[in-house]
Amino acid sequence: MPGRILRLIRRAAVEAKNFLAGLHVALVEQSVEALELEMLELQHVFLTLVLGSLVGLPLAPLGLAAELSPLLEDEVKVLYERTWRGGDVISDLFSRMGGEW
Amino acid sequence: MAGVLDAFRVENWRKPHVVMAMGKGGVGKTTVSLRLGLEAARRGMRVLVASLDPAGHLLEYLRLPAPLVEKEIHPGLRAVQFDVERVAKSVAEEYALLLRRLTPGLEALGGSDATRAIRDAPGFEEEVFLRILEKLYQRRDVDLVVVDMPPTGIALRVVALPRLHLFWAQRLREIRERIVSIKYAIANALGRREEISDPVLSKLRELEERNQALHREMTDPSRTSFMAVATPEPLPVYEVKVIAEKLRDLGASLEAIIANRVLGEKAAQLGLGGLEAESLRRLEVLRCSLRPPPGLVLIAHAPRPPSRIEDVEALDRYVLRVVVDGCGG
Repeated sequence: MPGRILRLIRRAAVEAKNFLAGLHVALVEQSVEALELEMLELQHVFLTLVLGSLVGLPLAPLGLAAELSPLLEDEVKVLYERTWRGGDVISDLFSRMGGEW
Repeated sequence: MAGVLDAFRVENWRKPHVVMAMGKGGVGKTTVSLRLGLEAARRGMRVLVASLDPAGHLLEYLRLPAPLVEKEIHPGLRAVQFDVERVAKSVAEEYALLLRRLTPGLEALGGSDATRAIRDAPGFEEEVFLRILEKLYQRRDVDLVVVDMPPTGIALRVVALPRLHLFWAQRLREIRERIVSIKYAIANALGRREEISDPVLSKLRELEERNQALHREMTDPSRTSFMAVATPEPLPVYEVKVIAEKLRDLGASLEAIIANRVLGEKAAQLGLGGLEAESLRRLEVLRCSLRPPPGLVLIAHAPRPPSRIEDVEALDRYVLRVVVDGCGG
């Protein structure tokens, strides 16, 4: 009888260990997925800034951009914050995903 | 007495009319522009000769007091030399101020560096020339504006710019319309009242209309004429061909070709007879390949380079020939 209880406890421990390992893997995978998404977005921003005109995204003429820019102040601020605020990008992303993280 | 103006179809002009003088640097664009302006003024038109050529010959030519100051140099004929460097600097400062407000990070570069970076940006100079041209097109106090353009490459890019701006304004307007409609849909779903008007969209529509109007005016032969000036030498003549082809691409056409400083019999004495004859033949072949064929004016080489308005007046004696037909239908 004590042997059976011991086996049950051992099995429960193994299950619990597997559960925790699974939870860990799920959390890691979720985080990696979020990081991959973020990395992809940053790569897009980087490529657009560096190679925009070579990958089919020619830039608008300077004069046109200058006439529009006073009206785009808010949008430009958002873009620059997203591009340069490296440390906060992940928290931005998580808050955009809508959960309490 | 025949003159440069006879090469143009003046009877089809709508006033105010704009003539752009193009050609390789040093072929006499300023002199021919002044000559054209003088002839038009003699026929009773109110004329403005505006030089955008960075070489700035007009200032010295007409003893103008300073750049950007218009002066009447003959009854009915006014002239102004644009100081492109100065205009470019002030436009660059304006852009730099705007950029610094948008991206405070640029402060690290310092004010003058940001201005210089914009001043040297590819395409900036063309934008400055276009700004000046746009203002000249708005003039209603004259019947004719003769624009002494910068050398060929930049002049052609300036003429092509309204079409490029138009393309961009249309594409950006389409994207902006989608953004505004999504904004409106979100506000609607959340039960919020959202203004449909968007200042960016309004600005894009204004830019679209402005550039469409400018492109239309530049390619309308009743509003704009293009004249190519060349000395009878291989490179200047080749540039006339480039000008004609590019204008055709843009939907505009060359209305007059001016062969300036033709040596005639003196060419043979200098051993340049063959070269000059071949250059003039090429101009004639080019002229007859264009539809409608532009007029051709031959101006003889003056004994001393024209450097005063009196020299331009004296060119009466040097206009050798004006050809407006004779291309065999």
